[in-house]
Amino acid sequence: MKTILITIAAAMSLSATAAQAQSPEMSPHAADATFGAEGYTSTDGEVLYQTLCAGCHMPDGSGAVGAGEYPALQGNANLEFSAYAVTLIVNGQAAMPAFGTFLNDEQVVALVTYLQTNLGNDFEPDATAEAVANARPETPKDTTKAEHE
Amino acid sequence: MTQFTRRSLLGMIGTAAGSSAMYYAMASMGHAAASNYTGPIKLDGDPKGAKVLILGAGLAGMTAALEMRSAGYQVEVLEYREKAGGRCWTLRSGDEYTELGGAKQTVDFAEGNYLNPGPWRLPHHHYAVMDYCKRLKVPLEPFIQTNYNAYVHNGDAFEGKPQRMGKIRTDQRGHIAELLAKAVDQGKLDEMVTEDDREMLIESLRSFGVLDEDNAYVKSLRTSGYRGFEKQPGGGVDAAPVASDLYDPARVIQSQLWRSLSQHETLEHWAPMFQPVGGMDGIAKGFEREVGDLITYNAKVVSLQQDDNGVTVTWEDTAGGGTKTSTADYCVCTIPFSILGQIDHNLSSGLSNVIGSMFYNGSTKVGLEFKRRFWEEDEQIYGGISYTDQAITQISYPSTGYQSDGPAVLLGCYTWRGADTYKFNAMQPAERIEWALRQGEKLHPQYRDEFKAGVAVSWHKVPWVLGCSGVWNDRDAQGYDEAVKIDNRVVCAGEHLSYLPAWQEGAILSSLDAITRLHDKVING
Repeated sequence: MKTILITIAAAMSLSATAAQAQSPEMSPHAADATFGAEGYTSTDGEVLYQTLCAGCHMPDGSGAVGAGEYPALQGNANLEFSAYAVTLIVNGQAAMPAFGTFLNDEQVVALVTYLQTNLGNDFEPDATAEAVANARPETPKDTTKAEHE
Repeated sequence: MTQFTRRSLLGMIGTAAGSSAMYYAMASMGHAAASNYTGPIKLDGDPKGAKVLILGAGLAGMTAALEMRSAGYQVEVLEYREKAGGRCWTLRSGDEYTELGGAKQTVDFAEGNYLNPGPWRLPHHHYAVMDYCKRLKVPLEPFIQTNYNAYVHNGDAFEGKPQRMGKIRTDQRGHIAELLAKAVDQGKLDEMVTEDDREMLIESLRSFGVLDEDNAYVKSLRTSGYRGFEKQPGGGVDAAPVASDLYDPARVIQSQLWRSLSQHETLEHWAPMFQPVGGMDGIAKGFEREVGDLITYNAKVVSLQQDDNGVTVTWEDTAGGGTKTSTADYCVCTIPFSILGQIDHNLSSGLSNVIGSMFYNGSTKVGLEFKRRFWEEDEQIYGGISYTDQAITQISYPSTGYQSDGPAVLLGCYTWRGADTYKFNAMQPAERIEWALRQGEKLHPQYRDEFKAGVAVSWHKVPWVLGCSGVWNDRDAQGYDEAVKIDNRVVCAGEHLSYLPAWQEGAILSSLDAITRLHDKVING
């Protein structure tokens, strides 16, 4: 995986600016990152996964283990039907924050479809915008609000 | 009868009862801010050899260990990491850090340089932290929070050029004060301002906004004395000061640079703030000097069970191998809920529900070491923080070692929750560092030439906590009271069980409160 990223980054650096050429180890997702209000506007499931979920669940969906763990999404039977993933992404669960506050229905569908058909999963994608809308709380909390700086 | 003045009343209380009584009397009269830290705790009564098992050797756990041992308990502490402190942590030259996902960083800073990936500054009114620093002989030095010569920056304002904070602050206040003074003077606020107050209000606005006798904010040596001169006053020939032009009011307001001006005015950031000399982990080491002999490191707790007779904790020895068991009469559990929720336990359903409802937020910090202190040498910025509308949010300059030669480390990125934190979390350390350079060089063009080394910590990827701090959406609805209760023989403590989340003060106050109640139960049933 890492080799692939480096190869892509090296290929990109041919057309990149001088500043970017100094950072050949950057993956394309990182090199072209956008922030703030433009941070998560993509409707591409892979882009959303690799720039958001991959931070904890890892780029290949293998999860991670420390004192606690981030569950692997690779070959995860809970992804057979989309309802579980939709609910978790929209509302969060346990230590995982809710992402429904800044992902729209279409983005959640794209993300869940990616999870069901990639990372070693081969399920029939069944997420719909309507199901995402129904999973949303009536009065969503803004989980990005700072209580401490 | 003679009326007591406040001062004479306080003097009387002070004489009669000693200075701490006077302090608490003052607090209740509003002279000093009240805290629920009431000085070193006293756990009176003999626990008769009862044993307490403390899970976690962060500040909450070590506070409990220190105080409970001195109250006569047998104490055992289990810690997942190889050292004490938890999130009270410093990365310095030669340290290795491997985040989840396997990326390993070796800190390539010069000797003595460091980054505090977690807490990095102490409010002076965090009485418990301040008191433990004193008792544990942790030397403190001022942390420069506010520096009006640092920058405020917005890519869309002033052609993207960073502005000195003091200049924007003075102009914002001047223009606002002028508008308000005019409105009052023209009688436009008569419904809200009495005749008696009008003159005094205008006078206060002249002082607040540096207005002239006509209530105008104008270019003058006087206003330059607040916002900076075109040419500073000097000595000898050709030394007269030259006043600087003011920024146009619309430009100041539209720049939105004022958004960065209020943070240092919040109580949490009032000057003076402090930092331990040489790194925040000075506090961890101070506690460790006292209770290090009680701590077993590299102990990964996998099970916490209690019954009417006691508490049994099963843990993996990640250094020596094997699974071990520790038992005790009571347990103080400071394991973050992000981890505790994944541990096999038989805690009450009420507590379990809260554990399962708390999400953890992230935060990103990037430390950048440069070959020289260009911010001091070229830009006269000595400590303090520049703010930017970019994802890095701020650049904090070192509050120590001023004017020294050689490399120095600044905080080149500090995100708190939200989309940008997730974005950085999904990157590799080298990528976060590169972005800190890309955005920081918009404020300091010297960045690329002077860069030497960097280290980046994203808190969702910190193996022993999986986040930066616990977040309550709604303490009442989630059951804060249930979470802080003693659950038979176990009581939880930590920053997540306080109203000071993510602050070390919250961790210590939570711990002191938990062990006080636990001790009361042990002694009085």
